[in-house]
Amino acid sequence: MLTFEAPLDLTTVNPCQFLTISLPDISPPFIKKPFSIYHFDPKTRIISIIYRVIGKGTANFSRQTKDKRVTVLAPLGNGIKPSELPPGKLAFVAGGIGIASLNLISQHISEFDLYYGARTQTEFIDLPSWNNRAMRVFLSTDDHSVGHPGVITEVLKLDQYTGLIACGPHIMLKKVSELCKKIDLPHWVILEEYMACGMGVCMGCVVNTTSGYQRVCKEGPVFNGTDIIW
Amino acid sequence: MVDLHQKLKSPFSIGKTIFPNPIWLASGTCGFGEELAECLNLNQLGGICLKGTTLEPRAGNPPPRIVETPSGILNSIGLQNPGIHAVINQKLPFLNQFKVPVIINFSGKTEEEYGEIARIISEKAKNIAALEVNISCPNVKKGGLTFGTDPASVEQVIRTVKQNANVPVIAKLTPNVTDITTIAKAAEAGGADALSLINTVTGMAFDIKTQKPKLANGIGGLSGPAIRPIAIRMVYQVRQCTTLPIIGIGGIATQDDIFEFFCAGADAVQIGTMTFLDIEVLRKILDSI
Repeated sequence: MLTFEAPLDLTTVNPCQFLTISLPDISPPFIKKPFSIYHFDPKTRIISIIYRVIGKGTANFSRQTKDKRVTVLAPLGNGIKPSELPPGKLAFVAGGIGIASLNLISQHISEFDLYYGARTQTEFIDLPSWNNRAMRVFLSTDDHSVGHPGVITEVLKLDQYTGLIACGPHIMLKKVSELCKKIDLPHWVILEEYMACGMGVCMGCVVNTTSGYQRVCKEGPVFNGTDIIW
Repeated sequence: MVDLHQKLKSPFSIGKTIFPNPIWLASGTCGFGEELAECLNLNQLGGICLKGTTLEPRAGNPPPRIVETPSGILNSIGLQNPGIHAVINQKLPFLNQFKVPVIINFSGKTEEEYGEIARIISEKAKNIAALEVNISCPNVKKGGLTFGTDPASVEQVIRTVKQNANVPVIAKLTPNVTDITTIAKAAEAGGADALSLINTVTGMAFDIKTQKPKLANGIGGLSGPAIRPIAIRMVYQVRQCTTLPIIGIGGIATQDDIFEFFCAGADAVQIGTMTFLDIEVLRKILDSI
């Protein structure tokens, strides 16, 4: 997790919005990378993101120390308002680091089950907190170390929910959307895509939808699952 | 010796059209200004080159469209745009609230189409400072680069645009040629009022896991600091063969990079990928002039 203090003019963040971040001491310069806003406290303006070390940029994150300045653009994307979600019990589906996008919205939802898949048991983030907040938590791991041995979509029992929201790898989201469409379950997916600008300028991060290519960074990252052409 | 700081602050002109300073935003990296206006004072800019526009709307290429490479970005957007009529009717009114000079960048599938778009702009668009003729987009099958690599086509396309235009015409040149001076001279012969260079350098990247290209379109255009020495070299070469105003483009990431373009012979510059890397740098430069 990377935690930092946001500037004064950041006052509100909608759940599922994201930010882009770059570090001053990285060379050659990198394009700013998008991260879900995992937590934001409007009083202290403390903002946090969850990251996994994949490349040079994220490796650099893990070497940061207190009092460093970072360049952040936030909040970005449309996010989702809790009022847009149907009343009743919801299903949250997270794959790996995708859990980060579900944290803020979960704080507004009283009744939900969490389905959470990861490669191995050490990759689960904040499980005690999710166990407290979710009515039930179902886990799966690719390496069979804990929970259901396999992928999380094999565990889903969707007929008990009024809606579903999911974030994770493309292949997982596609499967989730297929399952939801079979029973006409309203569902929202939070997409990830390579981005250059993160603010709607470059048209680089598009996804194909029933109304043409849409920008993940601007019209998204939250989309109605039925609008996506998988 | 040129006073580089002074040049950065000075107006720059193409023919009779005066631009308040030589720092423009490059086409394709600033959309139609709407998003950037939230974090940049557009009035501080010397010019804004709008996203490459075509006669009809274009959906663009399938994703993935963006790959990061060392000191650069490979893109294959494929000129996704709403078409010239929507740009004039829906995008220009927003920009007309600002005093920033607006440059419409466009391309056609045929020579006639280039002329038709120029005519539509002349008849219907208000407050346009210049046209930038895109004869250099690497990411579309027809038009763009196919015109920009053949001197005879360049001359003819620019001449046709000139005949239909009522503002200065800038030819945006591709680096994907053997000798850029031949193309520059052809554009000048066609009547170009200025030259902007370079567009992206064609490139590719493969995913070694899937052994497939990282871009859905396969080949893309490379931008960013990786291409700056190529751009500097080409500006230098073109400066030797023409007196037309030159707008240098390619991987500018600092104020010193702008100065480097001035040294090579550019009269103005366009900032592109840096807007994505760190908009603070651009803001600081604009604040200082």
